[in-house]
Amino acid sequence: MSTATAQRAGASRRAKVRPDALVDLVRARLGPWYFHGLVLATGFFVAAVSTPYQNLTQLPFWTSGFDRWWYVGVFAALATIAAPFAMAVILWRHRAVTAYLRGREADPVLVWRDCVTRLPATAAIVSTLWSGFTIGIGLIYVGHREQFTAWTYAGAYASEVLVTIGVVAFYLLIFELALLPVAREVAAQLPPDFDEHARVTGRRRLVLLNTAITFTVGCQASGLSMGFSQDGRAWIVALVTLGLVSTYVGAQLSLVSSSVTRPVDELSDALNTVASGRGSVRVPPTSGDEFDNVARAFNRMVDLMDHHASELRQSRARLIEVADGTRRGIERDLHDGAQQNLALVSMQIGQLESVCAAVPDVLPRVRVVRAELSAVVGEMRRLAHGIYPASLEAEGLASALRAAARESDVMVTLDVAVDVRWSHAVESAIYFCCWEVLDRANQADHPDVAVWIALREATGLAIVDLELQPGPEDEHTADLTLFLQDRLGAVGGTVVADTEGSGVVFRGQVPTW
Amino acid sequence: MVTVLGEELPWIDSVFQRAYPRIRGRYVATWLFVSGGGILFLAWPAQFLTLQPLWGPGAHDTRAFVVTMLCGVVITGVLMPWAALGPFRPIVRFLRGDPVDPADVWHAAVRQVPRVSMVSTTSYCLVGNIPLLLVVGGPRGFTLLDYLSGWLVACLITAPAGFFFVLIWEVAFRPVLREIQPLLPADFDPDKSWLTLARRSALASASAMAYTGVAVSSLVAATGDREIALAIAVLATLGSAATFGGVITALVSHSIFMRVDELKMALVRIGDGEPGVRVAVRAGDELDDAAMSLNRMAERLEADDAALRASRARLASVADGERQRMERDLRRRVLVRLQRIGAEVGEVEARLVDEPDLHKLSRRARESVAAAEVEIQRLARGVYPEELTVAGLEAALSATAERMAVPTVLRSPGVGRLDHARESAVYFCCNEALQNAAKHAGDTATATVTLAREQGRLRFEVADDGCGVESDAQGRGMDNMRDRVRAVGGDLTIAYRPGGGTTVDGWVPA
Repeated sequence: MSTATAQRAGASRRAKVRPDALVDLVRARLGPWYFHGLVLATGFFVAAVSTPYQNLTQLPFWTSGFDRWWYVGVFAALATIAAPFAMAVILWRHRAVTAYLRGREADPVLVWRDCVTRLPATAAIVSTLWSGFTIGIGLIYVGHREQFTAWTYAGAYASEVLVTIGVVAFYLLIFELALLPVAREVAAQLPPDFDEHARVTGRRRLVLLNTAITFTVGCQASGLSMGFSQDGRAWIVALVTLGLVSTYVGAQLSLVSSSVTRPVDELSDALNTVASGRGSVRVPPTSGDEFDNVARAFNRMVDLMDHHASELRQSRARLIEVADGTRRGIERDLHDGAQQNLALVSMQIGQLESVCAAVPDVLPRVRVVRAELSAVVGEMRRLAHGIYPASLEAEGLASALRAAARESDVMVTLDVAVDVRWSHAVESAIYFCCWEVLDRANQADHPDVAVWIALREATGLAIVDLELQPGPEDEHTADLTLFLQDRLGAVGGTVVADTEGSGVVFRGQVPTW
Repeated sequence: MVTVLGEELPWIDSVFQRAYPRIRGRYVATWLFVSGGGILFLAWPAQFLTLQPLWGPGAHDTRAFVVTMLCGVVITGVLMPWAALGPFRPIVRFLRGDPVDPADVWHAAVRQVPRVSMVSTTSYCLVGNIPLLLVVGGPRGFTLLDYLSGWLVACLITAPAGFFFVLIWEVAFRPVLREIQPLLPADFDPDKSWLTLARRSALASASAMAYTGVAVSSLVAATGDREIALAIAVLATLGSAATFGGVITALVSHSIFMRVDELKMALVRIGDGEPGVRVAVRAGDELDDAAMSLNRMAERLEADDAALRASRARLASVADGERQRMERDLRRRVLVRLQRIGAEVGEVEARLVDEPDLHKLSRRARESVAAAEVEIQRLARGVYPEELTVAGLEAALSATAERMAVPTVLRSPGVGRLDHARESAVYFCCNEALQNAAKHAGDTATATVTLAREQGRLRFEVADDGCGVESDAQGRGMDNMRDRVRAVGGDLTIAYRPGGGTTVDGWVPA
């Protein structure tokens, strides 16, 4: 199982996705402090950028215009005070991934959860606490000075919360993006039966993120537009909306390309790998969403197909084994039964001949019988050899091939540079391939057919070259190639046929372990 | 070819899917009419009312509304049908039953939708929003910049609505696509589309955001009161997010993940060995690559499987052929000559009647020749029964049944002949099963061989009433039998009932 193949295949495309390159760069710089850096940066941005901006947009709801701009500063200060606590909560909840990044021992399952499934809950907890503190105290401060009614408090608070939800969604998106590479690293070490799904599936996540971000846009744009007089209002509305849209859509595009395009590309690569027959790959589930289901279905399919193919291969190998066994059995029967009988007959006819010298009118007949008998014995031996040469088992391939060459009517050149014995299945596969070529050469109506058989060994491979000169007609060559492919294929080997001059060379390889 | 589609249709798809067969002939016209009505009587007045606060107080708004609606009627009644009917013509013709290239229909249902929507949206922005602004701007004394910003804001509402219709029309055309998909040529390759899934998703967010931002800001401008402004901001935002944002994103994420589910289903079914599973290649987006790869992979796996099966079948038939050849060689090249020798030795014996010693010698030689003949005959029959070649399965099995150590009954009501490969597979399986019965079933057992043709298959069953206990040797023999039968496309099962015998039940295609 080469998980690495799929990852490498995916990696070739990763360079195209720009946020990934940025994530890789930052990770390389920060090393073990990657997650800490991320949390620190988030804390800084929330306190210094997003909280002031958020409250700037809400300011016109509380007072007319932007005159009391320092209210914004109060909120920023409150956010800064709460920041260390919020960061501590994040770091504590995700201690598995920090431990992993710092090279300490960490359970891959916990790390994976930290990177994938626990993020939404963390976002919910931290933002509720952090913004609850900031918005609550801030609004009490502002409301006290601006004489808020209960309705104003409620409306201002709801509007703040809606804006916060979108902002949190944005940060959540950034964290997911940043931790995705870590999740993918860890995915390879997950136990094979790991089957955990994020409750926020890809389908739901898209809807949630978009709804959240729509909250922000509505409340921010309307708040800002309140701050301007009738003249500039349309401009502010258009510009603020467009600005928010482009910021968010940029981040969203990268998230979607990370969470959709990349798994799809990886899957395509894995499918192509199988389609081109370059071995079996697996796709590690990484994101806890719908694509993990696809990855699991893919892995299961590859397993089943592998199993199925190996069943078929084994069945084919068994068929050959049985057929070879049967031939060997027949050959033994011939040798032990019929050939012994014939030997007895030969002896008796020999006796008869020697004592028949005195009976002249019978003697020629007996001689004819004897000649005929020896022809039958020869025929038997030849037959037995074609069925299964006894020497193949006893003395090995080289000796059996020499015997086969001797009995052949055509010119055979043997070039056997092998002094080891291979498994029985391999030896008989090669022998019967050679025998088939010799047999076809014998049947060819050509006066000077010649056969070369070269046999050698190279690191775990038996290499056999069979040359037939001149080659048979094309259709016979194709037929013979198919036979050799089946025969050697059944023991895991391969054959290719090349034409060389007027002849044909079959180059076969069989693994010998 | 089995094209995999998502298992269950979400409600919005099923609405269209249910309507489709009922109004198939006028499908495109119906939805154009419904969309036009929706735009004209719902979206267009809503946009006017939403934007009104942003323009500030002014007179003659009733006149402005009438002008706006008139523009809307012109666009919806003239420009939109003009923009849509040309590109959608292949769909209309297909639904009417006219001969039309499926690729054109696909193209119209997938590629033309964004284009049509873009043309329509542009005409609303130019022919609708510009006159609207001119009519409302005059009484309010707009400057050029006011006109420009007012127009921009209006377009920020119009454009998302246009994108919304892209998504709805895509869903609407899915039933057509389902119908057209199997008709597409196998090598159909949609070129890359601009509207990829990632961009579609971004456009969905942008639309929801733009619409909400503008609409809520404009509504808030209607009041100067702090509490009411806050209430409007919160409620309008929630409403817009829930309706516009929610619906749009649900549609987009559905269009992404529905196809992901299709891929998953296809993989599951391929894994389960279902042949001919393919997924539909759709829209030239990111998932089409995966879909095409999946189809390529499925083809490859099927080809590999077929090649392996063919190789196994060839090997089995070669092995059969060899046995047949051995049998023939033994008979023709050995047995016939041996018989001639026997006859000649017989003649020699007849001539030597007068000489007892020689006569005795020659008689013994003749007997030895006869013994050799019998031996070779027996051997040849074991290699490949002559009856199987000459007279077929029934004859060969009944000859075997007679020779078996276990009493055997053959029931085969005229099953006729099959080709060599299948006949010999069945013969050797029955033979093996009977030999197993002779070896393992016990001394008092009897066996029954049943052959029958049913539903394009030749079924065979070898049952004994022996002890029915499985042994290792039988397990191996069972593997061999199964290999033989599977090599010719059949299958076989074996059942042991302790104390009740063993039954081998198999079939080959007939």
